[in-house]
Amino acid sequence: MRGRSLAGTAACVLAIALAAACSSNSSSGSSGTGSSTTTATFAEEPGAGPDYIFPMLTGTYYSVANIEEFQRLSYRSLYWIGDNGSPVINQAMSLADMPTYSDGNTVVTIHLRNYKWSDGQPVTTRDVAFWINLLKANKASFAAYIPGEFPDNLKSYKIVNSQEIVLTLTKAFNPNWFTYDQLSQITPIPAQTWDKTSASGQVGNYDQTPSGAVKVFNYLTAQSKDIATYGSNPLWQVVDGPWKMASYQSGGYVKFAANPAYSGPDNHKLKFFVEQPYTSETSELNVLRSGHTLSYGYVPLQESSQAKVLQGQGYTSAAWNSWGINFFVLNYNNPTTGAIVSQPYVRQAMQSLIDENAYIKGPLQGYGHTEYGPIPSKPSNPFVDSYETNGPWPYSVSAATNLLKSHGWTVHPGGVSTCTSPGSGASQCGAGVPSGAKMVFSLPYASGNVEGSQEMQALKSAYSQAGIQVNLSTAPFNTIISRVAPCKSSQSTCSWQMAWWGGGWTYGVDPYPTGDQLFATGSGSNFSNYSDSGLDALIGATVHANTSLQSYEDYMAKNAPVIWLPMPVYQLSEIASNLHGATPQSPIESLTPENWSFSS
Amino acid sequence: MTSVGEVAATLTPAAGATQRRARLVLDTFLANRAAVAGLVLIVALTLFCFIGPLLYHTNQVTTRLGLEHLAPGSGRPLGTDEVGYDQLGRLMVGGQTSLEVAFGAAAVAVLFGAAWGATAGYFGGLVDGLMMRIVDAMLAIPALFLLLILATIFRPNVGMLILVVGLVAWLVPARLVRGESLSLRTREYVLAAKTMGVRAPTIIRRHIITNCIGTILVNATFQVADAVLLVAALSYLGLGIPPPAANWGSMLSNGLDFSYSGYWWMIYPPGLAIVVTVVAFNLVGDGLRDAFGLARRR
Amino acid sequence: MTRYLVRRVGQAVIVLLLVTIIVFGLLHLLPGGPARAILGTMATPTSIKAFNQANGLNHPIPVQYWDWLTKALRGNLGYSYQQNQSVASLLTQRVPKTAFLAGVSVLIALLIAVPVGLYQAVRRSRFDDYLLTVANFGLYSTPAFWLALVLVDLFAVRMHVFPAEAPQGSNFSAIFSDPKGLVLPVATIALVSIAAFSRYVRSSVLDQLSQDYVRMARSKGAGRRYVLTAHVLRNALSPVVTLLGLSLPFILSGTLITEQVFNYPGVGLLFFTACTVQDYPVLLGVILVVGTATVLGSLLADIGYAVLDPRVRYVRAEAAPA
Repeated sequence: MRGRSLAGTAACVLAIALAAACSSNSSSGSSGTGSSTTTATFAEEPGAGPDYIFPMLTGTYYSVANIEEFQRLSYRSLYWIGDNGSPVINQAMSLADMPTYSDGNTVVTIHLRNYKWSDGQPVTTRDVAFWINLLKANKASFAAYIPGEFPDNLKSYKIVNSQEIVLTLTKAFNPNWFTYDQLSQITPIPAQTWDKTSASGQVGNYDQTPSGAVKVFNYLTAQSKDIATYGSNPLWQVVDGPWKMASYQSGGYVKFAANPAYSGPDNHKLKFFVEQPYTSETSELNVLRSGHTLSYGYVPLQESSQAKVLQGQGYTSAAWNSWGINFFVLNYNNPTTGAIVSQPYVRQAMQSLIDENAYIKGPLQGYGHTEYGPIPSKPSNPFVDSYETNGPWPYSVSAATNLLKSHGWTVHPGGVSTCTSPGSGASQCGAGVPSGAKMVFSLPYASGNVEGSQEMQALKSAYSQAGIQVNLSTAPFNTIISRVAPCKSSQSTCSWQMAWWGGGWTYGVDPYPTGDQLFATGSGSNFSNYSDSGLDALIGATVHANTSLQSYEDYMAKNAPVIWLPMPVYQLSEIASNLHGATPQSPIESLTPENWSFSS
Repeated sequence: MTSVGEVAATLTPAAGATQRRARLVLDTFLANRAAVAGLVLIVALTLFCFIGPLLYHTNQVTTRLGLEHLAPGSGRPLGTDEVGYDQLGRLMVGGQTSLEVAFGAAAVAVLFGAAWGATAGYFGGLVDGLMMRIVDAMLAIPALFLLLILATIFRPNVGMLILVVGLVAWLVPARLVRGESLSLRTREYVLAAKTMGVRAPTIIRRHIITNCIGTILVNATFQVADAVLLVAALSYLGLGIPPPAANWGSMLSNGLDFSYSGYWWMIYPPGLAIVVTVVAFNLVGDGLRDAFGLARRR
Repeated sequence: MTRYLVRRVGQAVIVLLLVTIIVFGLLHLLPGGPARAILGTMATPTSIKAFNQANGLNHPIPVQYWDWLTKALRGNLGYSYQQNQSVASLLTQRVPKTAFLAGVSVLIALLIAVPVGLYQAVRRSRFDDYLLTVANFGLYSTPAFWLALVLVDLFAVRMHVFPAEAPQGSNFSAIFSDPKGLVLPVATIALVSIAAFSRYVRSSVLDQLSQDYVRMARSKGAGRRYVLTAHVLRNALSPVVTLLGLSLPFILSGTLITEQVFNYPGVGLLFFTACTVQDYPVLLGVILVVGTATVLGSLLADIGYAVLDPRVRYVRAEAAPA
């Protein structure tokens, strides 16, 4: 048996050579940050590390990782969303008092509270105006800019004093909408250090001319593109938030140090806050399972049974509910299937074939909630109503079949249903649906998500029971996004029929849950090409008049312009049991480690 | 009247000699126990995948949420998968796709590769230079890198995947066949056919490729094995065939997604199926290569 | 020799140029274009137009290629669409790491594969040869990602001996901050390579053993051990040297999977993520580097072969295309 012994020796050589080489200095390694009581380490979402610090960022860098989990730690917005887990304005953490609206909701007065920059200067209305001026001159480069909205709807502003600024709007707006969706996007930035056009140049008032504002923006953008200097660039060392960048490594590793001059409400028990990047959920879980280096990680939903094991290792799990909704989109302009999905009864039948409760119990392992309309039912919030929460189209194959049958379709369970009674009568297939039209759709969805794949397989199976054939395909999220675009039926890019990019919409920088960006005719993120004047009127009322969201959301739930899917938790967090203050977690995924502390 | 081609054909080694050679190859192959074992395994796997479903009926169409991740038990010898499909039945269906893609890709690769290599080798000169530089260029991109680009461009389904893997895999046979045809084109019967005015495509088909058959066959066998592994790697990277179609690679990587949950029946059956298949094709390939008396290239 | 060398280098340059043309062409077959893939669900026609303009995507493809090529020749590989970094800086961070990972793995694989292959050849057709052959086949036939995850399960999760994750950080020196983290990724690539290498060494030694000079040396009374090391191994290793150069694509494919499993910040991982977001400049940059490495590898292999074995030089030069 010398053969075996040789192989055995070889394997040992391999292991020993490597182990010996490393055991000598393993103690000096970077592991063990979780055991320190002054540093908390947070696991970033896979493949999504922060890499852009200047808060006026382009769409390329627009992400939760960059905004909520990076910039907001140093640069606070005028109004902070998220109060005790609910998606409402947190007055204590906002830089300004709640705004007052006057002159028929066309004039807004904002009064700043006593915040200071880390260099000792107060945060003033000049810093607010600095942001507005840069935005006006560079709006196309700001990810959250939507044509017609801020700053297009701003007629003028006037600085009353260092703490009071008055905005005059182009027309009347719903104060709730304007505060949540427009004012919360304003991030005062330090004019006293940032208003310059080159590193060696003097600080001035360049932002006050459009061409100067472009130069300042370009300078700050260029500085923000120099990530090698993130830890040292004096620009980024002037902050009004509780955290200041201490070091940064490309790939998304970032270490924040507490800002000793922070003037907001905090306890600041931690000295450092570290964010650690991962490439995949599995690699993160492996780390979580094999050691104690993370104080705040997550378990992929399909492995949620690991939560129990991790409990034994000193972690407590907490489901993180995100302020968002989940749906897949239908292309209303597709030359073949557009006319079919334009019929409300077809979408209602499709909605009736989604067994949301089974998806939650199965693929989501209980970590999700039902969602039947545009306003999230969780986390608890003042906007959603019971009609939407209960859902007008509960799971029922027979209801779906009957809807199709009563509208001129011959249903072939397991096969392909066809339209046998065309026409626009009440019992016919509807306008534009020809005789013999087939219920066949292609549905590409985002790969790399186990639960999603399970749901889509279940969906295909359920749809086929009503004779709706869904041909699934997968592609990475970005590929799906790039192929699903608003289009005209004559364009070749309009060949897509359905699509699911693995989620729906997160009300992040636009936390007021109305449909002006998503479902209004021609709006930027209306991928479906949905166009409904009735709905447009309802949306308009929520933006311009002081109308509640109820009629809008009920209409959406009833008509299902997109097909609603259950909303999974953002993540199943695993928080070190001795780390306190991290829950409830923010509905817009921001982090407030200044409130965290370790017990010994 | 005999055609020019037939005259040329009579100049090739006599039919009897070819038969004797085939006999010899077969005998050598059959004397190789490992190779025969490999062949038996391949036949067994193929029967399992394609005949199995006729004997062991399972529903591989309707998902059953609520019955997912069940451990093996009575009525489900290998348990169920993440949407409630019977895992043994899934293994058969998945195996069909795996084998179809592997055979398909290998066929595309050797047919296209052999044609390319033979053409380049036969003409030589500038044509050869250009054709082979293209092969070199694509070979300079590691297979998995090239595969990733291709898989992102062409949304994979079974046909597409065959094409994509074939597009990556044809390079090696092209190079091998080109090497052989460089020497074949100076053989007497090829020169004779040429002087008699036989057209190039005919010569390439009848004389060059036919005489490279050993190389082609051996390479095809290895290509099947490699394709199984490549498809598995693609599935792991999320660019395989989308569900509900299954293949062993996607089943394995699905299983591995749940590896902490202890669903061993989702990992080992497809994993072992891959290993056994790849080993079997390698054994047969080795045996064939020895039987044809070719130099060891791998 | 000089003429052969010049021609081989010339070919290598042409091949590299073709590599970039092929990949550039393939990328532009991608439907949709990168703008939406990068800008995400918030993309508006305005921002898409701005993106395309900023990145020169509004020009015809040949113009774009020429633009890219002339800049690349001057060392400017462009700016990543997705990550806030230049391609050059991404590559300078990532390339050394992958080179290190691959280098160490291959070295260890060779240290093991050569004795194993030699041993197998000597013990040809005995039980232990079969056993090792089976082990080799098994390793070679196991999907690398599975092998990697089995190692993680055993050594990281169950035994807590080695970390499940490679050392992080953007500097090259960061690798050494936690060398234990390198064990499992290196082991994964090494194990797969051992399988391939030892098979090769075994057959190469077998070829040598059947040569006349071995029989002659043995008949002259040279010791078995002496013949093996002095003659056979030395002669058998020259093809192994060339194998090293030629196996670079195989090794790099292996690192791609390994880097993905172990979160190792190398070129393979960079390429994979760039692929999912259609980050053209990064994809092209990686392909250029990887392609150059492979072409260089086979060039060195050829030259090394010619230097080591004068007979080959002549034959090769004859057989090489006009």
